[in-house]
Amino acid sequence: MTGRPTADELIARWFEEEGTREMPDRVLDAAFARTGSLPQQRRGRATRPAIRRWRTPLLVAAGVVLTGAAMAAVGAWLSTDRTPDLLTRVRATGVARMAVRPDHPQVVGATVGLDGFDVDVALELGRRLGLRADIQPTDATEMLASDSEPTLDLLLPSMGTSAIDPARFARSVPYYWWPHYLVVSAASGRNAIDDLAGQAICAVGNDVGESWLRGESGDAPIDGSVVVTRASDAECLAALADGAVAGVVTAHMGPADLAARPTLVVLRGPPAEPRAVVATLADRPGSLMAEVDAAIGELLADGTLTRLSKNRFGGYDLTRSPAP
Amino acid sequence: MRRDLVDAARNGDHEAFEALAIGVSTRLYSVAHLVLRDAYLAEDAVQEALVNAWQRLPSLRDPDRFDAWMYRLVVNACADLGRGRRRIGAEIRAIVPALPVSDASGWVADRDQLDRAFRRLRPEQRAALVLHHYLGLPVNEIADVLGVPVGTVKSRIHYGTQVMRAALEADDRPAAASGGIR
Repeated sequence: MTGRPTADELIARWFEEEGTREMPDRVLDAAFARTGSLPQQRRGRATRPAIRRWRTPLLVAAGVVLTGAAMAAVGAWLSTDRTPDLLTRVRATGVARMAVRPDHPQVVGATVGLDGFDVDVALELGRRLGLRADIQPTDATEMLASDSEPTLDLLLPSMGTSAIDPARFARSVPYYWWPHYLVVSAASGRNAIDDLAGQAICAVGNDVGESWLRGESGDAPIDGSVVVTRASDAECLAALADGAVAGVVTAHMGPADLAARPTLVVLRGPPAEPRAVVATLADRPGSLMAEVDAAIGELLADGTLTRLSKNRFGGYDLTRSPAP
Repeated sequence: MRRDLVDAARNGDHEAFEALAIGVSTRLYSVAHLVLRDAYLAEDAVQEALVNAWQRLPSLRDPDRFDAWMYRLVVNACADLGRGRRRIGAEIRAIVPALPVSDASGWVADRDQLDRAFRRLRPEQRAALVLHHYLGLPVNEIADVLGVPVGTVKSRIHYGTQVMRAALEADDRPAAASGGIR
């Protein structure tokens, strides 16, 4: 008696048979045709072809000028600042070493391959700048650490621009605005910020929400409220669920996250914080940052940033300056 | 050797990328075909995954994870294509052939039941089942590929497998009750 195969054996057989498929050659042909016309990094901007016919005379002239300039520059360089300009360095190598922070919601999946909004933005910036983006997941604190070696060219720390020390870093124009929400439990019956007077409110430690609650960012603190800090939104929300706090100011939750939590009601919150690309002051003349600003302008104008934001933030466009 | 290919492709070497793509494309196509249940959509998904791979290779940190990364890209491409075609897909029904007389083992009927059950699953459940049952990836690897917690992967595999088992059991009941030929 052979017996009927078990359900699991039948399932295994089904997957084996259904998975045995011959892929038509046209798939690879079409993919290679597209990758052949889509370099990983686009060399030059849209204006570059117009310059092409002038390339030789320009190069000769530039060579003469550069030779003289180089001789003068070498003397100056030897006597003063030995730090190469950042734009010169990245152009020479063709690579921009770009740091992204490896946590939700800007970057996900660091174990397999980096993915997420900041990764998309970094790759697009690389293309627009004609550079290969060498993306390195780096903790935001480490990116901005005072004693860190300048091993990174551009940083995407995904933190408010007000937290970036202008004495040490150059900042681009903002490429997105991250919201922070003051939320309460829908079951609490609270529906106005005054309802939180005298109550404990949780925020992630050292985040914008904490300084806003403490009245350190311009707005007056909520009357008589007590600020409680936790390490994450999840811990704050757990405290809200336990009744340990009456409200939470979110740090990492986007609008799509809140839309998925109908048990929370948004009252208000700190203003959305602008977030920018950052370069070390090795970019002293600000030349690389000027290129980054132009590239962000292009990405905003042609809708690329909007598309990336909607794709990564659950359909929401966070790339436009919010109404005050 | 393969690591060298990935490194070269990351640095813009087309030939290295083509060698990698040829090596992985059959598996990608099988995964896409299983998830989408449509040959033409599967072709589109593989093409999108490969183009995406080329453009996003600089974001791949660990060359040894190239395969897992490609599975992620093709599953994402399936999800994108699936969203656009869900309404159409929902209207497609497999044409059930008359049971051949020689189908003594009942495999044709079983296969049809499994196919119908699998089509009822959501794309993310299908993807978890395909990575588990077809590619044989462990759940932690599947969690990495899909970008979801291990518990979610276990739950999707458990639910999906139960649905497929139930389809076979449902198919057994009337046959047994009527004493029909299987």
